[in-house]
Amino acid sequence: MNWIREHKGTTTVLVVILLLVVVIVLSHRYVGRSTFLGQGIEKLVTVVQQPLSLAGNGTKDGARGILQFRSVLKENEELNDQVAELRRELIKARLTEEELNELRELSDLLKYETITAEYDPLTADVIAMDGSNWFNIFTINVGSAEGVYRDAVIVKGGNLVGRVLEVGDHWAKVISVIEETNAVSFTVYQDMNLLGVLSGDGDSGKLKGYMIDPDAAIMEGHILVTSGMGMYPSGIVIGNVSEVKWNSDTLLKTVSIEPAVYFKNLQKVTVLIKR
Amino acid sequence: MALKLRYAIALFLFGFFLQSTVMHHFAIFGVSPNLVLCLTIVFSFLYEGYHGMVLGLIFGIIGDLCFSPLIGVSAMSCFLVALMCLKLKQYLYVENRFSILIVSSAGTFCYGVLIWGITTVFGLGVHLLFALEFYAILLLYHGVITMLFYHLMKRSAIKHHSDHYMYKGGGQKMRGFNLR
Repeated sequence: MNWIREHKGTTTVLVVILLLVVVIVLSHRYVGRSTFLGQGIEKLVTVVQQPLSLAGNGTKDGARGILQFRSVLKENEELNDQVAELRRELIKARLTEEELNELRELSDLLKYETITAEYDPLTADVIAMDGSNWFNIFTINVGSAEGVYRDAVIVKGGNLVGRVLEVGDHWAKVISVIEETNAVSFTVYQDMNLLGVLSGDGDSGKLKGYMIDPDAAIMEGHILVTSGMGMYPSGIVIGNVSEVKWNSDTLLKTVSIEPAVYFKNLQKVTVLIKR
Repeated sequence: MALKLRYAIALFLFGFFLQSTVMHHFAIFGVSPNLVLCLTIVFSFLYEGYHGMVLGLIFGIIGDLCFSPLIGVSAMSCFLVALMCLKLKQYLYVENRFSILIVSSAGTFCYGVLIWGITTVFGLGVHLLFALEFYAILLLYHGVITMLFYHLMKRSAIKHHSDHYMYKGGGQKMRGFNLR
């Protein structure tokens, strides 16, 4: 006890470190489950972050518009050409509408279920991120009040972003697939019989994985989609295969995957809410 | 130097919200600065008292709550970096601008080692080469930011006529002086 009295500073530092170690271990044990205090702090922080984030994004877009005026004009001309082209394609597409209706009837007959049939999409704004590198973990402005729940799937334009790690009233913390340490099962779009497992590679915002069948005929450029095993529903695009390697140590065919989502700039995402 | 706690809290709050909402627009090679860490370093090195350490700890915890699967990692790293800065203050001349560069580099390096070490222990660490590349860029970025903070905050010091040592320089021991 005398030592503690004589070394108050050292004792305080040691106690703080010890407490923090306990907090780290507990948070690792109960990952994604914060306390009442934690929820309260996050709620409060989210209230301030939302308008700031919107202002930041708006300013950036405005500044880009001013600074890149010439390129915007050029882009506008290109887009006008594209619109004209798309109008022509639309006319062609209307001709095949009957075929589409027939396919829909066939789909109902076969009881084929798509993601949109099982899930309600909910659009959300990204209001905060850790500010360090990629959008590994970020906060969105929808929560349990809007029907969001833990492990709800997050997509952007039909491509996989991640899942909800933690949820509050009007906010949710999202862990992206590039940060994901849990394995995600995938299948190859070009050949649905090929199965594999991937996870975030911890750097450079890419994904890495391996094929379950070491003889799987997978090639660079193949599109990978979720297989439906695990927490992610089937058919969501994950990304393209950028590299295929044979690992002689593990006797597995390993793949590097370029995610379909650009994780350096996310402003809006879609939450898939199960019906 | 001493700084009123409410100003310190306001600066940390401002830094935290700016970091989590706007700073990713200013990323260089995908790396944006950690303002809370920069403020922790500057406050611990420049000012008397433990504001930098305590606020670094608190805002580290808030940052962890919002953006990390592991709570307490940033908080512990900020706390230990602040402790290191307080120790460095005994050996470096606070008024010299190169001192802040040394402290900023040492602080960012220690922060990186701590974050990488703790996350690796819990199986969430990134590849060492990526961490080295990331923190090398961050080191440079933090050098610029801390220098900026240093000059902005130093201006707020009101020099007293009795602060002769400020002009004489040399090896005289630096003592704290008060702000109005």
